[in-house]
Amino acid sequence: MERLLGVGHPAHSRPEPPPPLQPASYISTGVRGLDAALGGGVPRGAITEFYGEYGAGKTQLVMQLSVMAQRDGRVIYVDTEGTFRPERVVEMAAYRGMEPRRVLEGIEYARAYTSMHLAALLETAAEKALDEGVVLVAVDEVSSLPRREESGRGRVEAFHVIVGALKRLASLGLAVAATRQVVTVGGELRPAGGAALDSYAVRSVFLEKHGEGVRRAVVVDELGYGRHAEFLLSEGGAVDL
Amino acid sequence: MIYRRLVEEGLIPPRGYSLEVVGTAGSARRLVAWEAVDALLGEGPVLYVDLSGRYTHMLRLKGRVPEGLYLYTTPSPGDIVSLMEGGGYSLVVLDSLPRLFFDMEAPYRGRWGATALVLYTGLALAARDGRFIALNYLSRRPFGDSLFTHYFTHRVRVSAGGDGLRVEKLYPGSGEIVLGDVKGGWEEGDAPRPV
Repeated sequence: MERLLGVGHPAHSRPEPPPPLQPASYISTGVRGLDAALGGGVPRGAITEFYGEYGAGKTQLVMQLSVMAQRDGRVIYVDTEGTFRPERVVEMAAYRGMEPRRVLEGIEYARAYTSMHLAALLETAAEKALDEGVVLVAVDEVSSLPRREESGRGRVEAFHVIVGALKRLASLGLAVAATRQVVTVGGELRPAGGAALDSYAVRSVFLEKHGEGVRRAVVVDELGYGRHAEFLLSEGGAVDL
Repeated sequence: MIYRRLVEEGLIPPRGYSLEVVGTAGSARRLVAWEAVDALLGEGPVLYVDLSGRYTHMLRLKGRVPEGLYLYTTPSPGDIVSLMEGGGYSLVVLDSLPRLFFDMEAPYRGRWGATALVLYTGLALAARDGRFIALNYLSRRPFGDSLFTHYFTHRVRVSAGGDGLRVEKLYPGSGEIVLGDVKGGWEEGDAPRPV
């Protein structure tokens, strides 16, 4: 009777299943062990995050990705903490037999000073990416600006806008690599940003110090559950042990 | 295996549930839902609302979408409710609660209301003998704990440790299973080579 009167739940038909998925392609991290742990490297069309304590190698890895990515195209590098070092990029490029000047010219660098500035830069990156052959957008670091500036509703909105912009970049087929600080919760290290940044990245890698100059990368997403790699932070960048 | 163990050992019933699966970052909590999909696809179509994109990426690595899987990555809360009401699914998975809340286009209060509406629809499915799994984030407490708890008939906490994947029942009652040697969503050698 309810259905006859148009009361209750409307009748729906199930939608058609989505079309077949495009295969993944990757940008190498420059560390064979880490590439293997990630199934090939940092995937295009998805967000990959690296989180860990200060000095764990997060910035080094995204700078190295910015070098490695130039075998395929250009890079946009957004820096929220002022930790980008061109001279380090030069060392990494030289170690890998690449022309340092050309590598630096292939990185479009921007410094973000506020959450909304970061979001605006990412929107601009999306506009430029398609025209300028960009393959990687690197963001170092993604959680600190909203956490520093905002609380409550303002923080929710700031993370909403930033994550939305990162996902748009990934949806354009770009590789997006972001770093995140950690905080201590109940005596355990957790990625900063809490629920607002939970699972915003498809691939998630925890970095930790593992001896003098040695770093350990542990894949913590479900795709690579339990996979890990160790690498050395050398003059030439991150290299296999 | 994980899902069947949960049912066999009484942590969840075979059907008629709205299950919250909570875990910290790195807890591998999605493996519970992924295995449930594998286990239940044979019983009928499955709706997977993949707001995190991880399940979609895993399928991309495998190179195929299983027959009977209805996969959506960017639906609005209204779309999700409409899809869930479509009916006839052997399982509906929401991946995840935080991504639903933070990614939707809505004012602050609207976020809470729209998330609650999706969870209510999951609870209504459970009342009609359906199965609904929502993945949630755990910090000190599960995300949205004080508001969303009552939309779940069952709750489990997943944690990954040295002895394997640990699934602890939070409600109703208590219980625990440990699953050793659990692997991720794709096996060694499945992934394509770098290009």
